[in-house]
Amino acid sequence: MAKLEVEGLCKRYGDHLVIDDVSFHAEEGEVISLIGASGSGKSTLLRCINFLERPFRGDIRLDGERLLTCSERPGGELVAVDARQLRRFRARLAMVFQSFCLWTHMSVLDNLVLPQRHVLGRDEEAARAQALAQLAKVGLEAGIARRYPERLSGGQQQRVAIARALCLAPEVLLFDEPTSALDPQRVGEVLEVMRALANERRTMLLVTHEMSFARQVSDRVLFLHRGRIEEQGAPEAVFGDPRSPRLRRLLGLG
Amino acid sequence: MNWDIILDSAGLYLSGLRLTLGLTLASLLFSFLLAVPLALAKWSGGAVTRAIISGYTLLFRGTPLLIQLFLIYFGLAQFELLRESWLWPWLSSPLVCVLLAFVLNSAAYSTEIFAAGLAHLPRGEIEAARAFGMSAWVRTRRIYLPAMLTRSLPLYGNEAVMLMHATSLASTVTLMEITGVARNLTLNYYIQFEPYVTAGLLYLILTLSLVGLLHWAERRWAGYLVQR
Ligand SMILES: Nc1ncnc2c1ncn2[C@@H]1O[C@H](COP(=O)(O)OP(=O)(O)OP(=O)(O)O)[C@@H](O)[C@H]1O
Ligand SMILES: [Mg+2]
Repeated sequence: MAKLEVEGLCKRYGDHLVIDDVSFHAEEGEVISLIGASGSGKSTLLRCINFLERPFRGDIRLDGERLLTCSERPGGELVAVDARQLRRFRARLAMVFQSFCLWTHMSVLDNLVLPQRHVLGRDEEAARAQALAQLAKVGLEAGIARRYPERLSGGQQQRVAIARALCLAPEVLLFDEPTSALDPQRVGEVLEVMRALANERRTMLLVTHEMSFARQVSDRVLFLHRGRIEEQGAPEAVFGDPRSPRLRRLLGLG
Repeated sequence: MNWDIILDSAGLYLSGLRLTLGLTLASLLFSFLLAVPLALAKWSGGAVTRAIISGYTLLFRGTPLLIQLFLIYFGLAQFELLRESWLWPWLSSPLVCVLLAFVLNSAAYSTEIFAAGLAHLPRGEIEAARAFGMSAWVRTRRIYLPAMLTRSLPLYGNEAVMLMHATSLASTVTLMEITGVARNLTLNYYIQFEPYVTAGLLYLILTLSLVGLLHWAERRWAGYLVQR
């Protein structure tokens, strides 16, 4: 059984169909990269999976369990039937954002402890221990725990954000262009962390413009065009011998 | 100069100070309790909720506090129905009327200040909280409220100081807070300068204490907003 299944997903903004009948699945331990031109719907697809955006059709399954949804009117956006189930799904699908999205009013430690306390119901001590362990895992020293996020460099902030996600022991990690907001010299340190996660056989869904990185770490690459999966396959095939002319153009192959 | 009159009236000033402090703190407390949910509702609510709350704040921010106080203290007495209701013992008390006016007025300003603080909360911080599966209650308590309060602390501090100064209006409906005490002395002893200077000094001391408290709170809770 696949870890994550997405089936027949459709999303529109007004009359604009942004995700057009997308289906794919991720096996346990699989790393899938989503590539595509700007505006092709990569972020929207990722955000529909944890229902930050509401699709109007489609199913999301985790370990075969379907997220229960219904639409309030025919053709309208889907809403989760059971708020508890949605929250549980979201915690199992931790997200890392392009702009870090750390909570600026609390220390790094509190950023890591808060979701554990209130989503997993861990006690304070266990949550702190886990937070410090994950900080170490993303290569940050414990001294950073007491500081405010905005006092850190972009690369450090994104690594904290990854640690925050890891603290929830998620089954699938969703990354939305995690290095796009970084200074070029900070990109490497974040990619290193992600490479380590991929090597651990974590299930990951990665929206990225870092083509060489995607090629190195992915098991499978999906190329999105106008909300549809236009091409997919192993990275060697997708990057080495793309068939879609639009993908060739995106990769600079003429 | 007639400073011995002032010295002899130290006890009066002290009780005036107590009343001013009490009015200020009580008004701040109740208006805070009112403004926080109103701001959250205005920020997250639908068009109707927003319109109702905006109407309320417009009404109370768009008219002078003194008019609001007179309407509550003198104006309500005109209504037979109110005079005969169980509310009347309260509504005929100057203290209750003054508190009602101050609370409603200050809550209107505070609501707008807090709502503006919420509007400056980055969208991503809200999305992250949703994306991690936090319930609406946890998000409100641990993300929205602290972010809102810290972000609006400087403006809210101004509002608190202005409210404290506005409590001097209570003297117009017979309450003997600092201004009332000073005014009585001018009427009884035919001196105008010393009583008001003393009152002004007392307000200044209160203001400085309040500002010190607010700076402390800013350093304690809003340090993350200070640019390096
Ligand atoms: N809130 C919104 N309202 C209306 N249209 C939107 C909204 N968000 C996205 N869109 C539109 O949906 C389409 C897909 O956007 P999306 O952000 O998913 O693209 P993307 O592939 O992530 O692009 P990028 O590489 O620039 O991040 C775009 O045409 C965009 O204009
Ligand atoms: Mg995007």
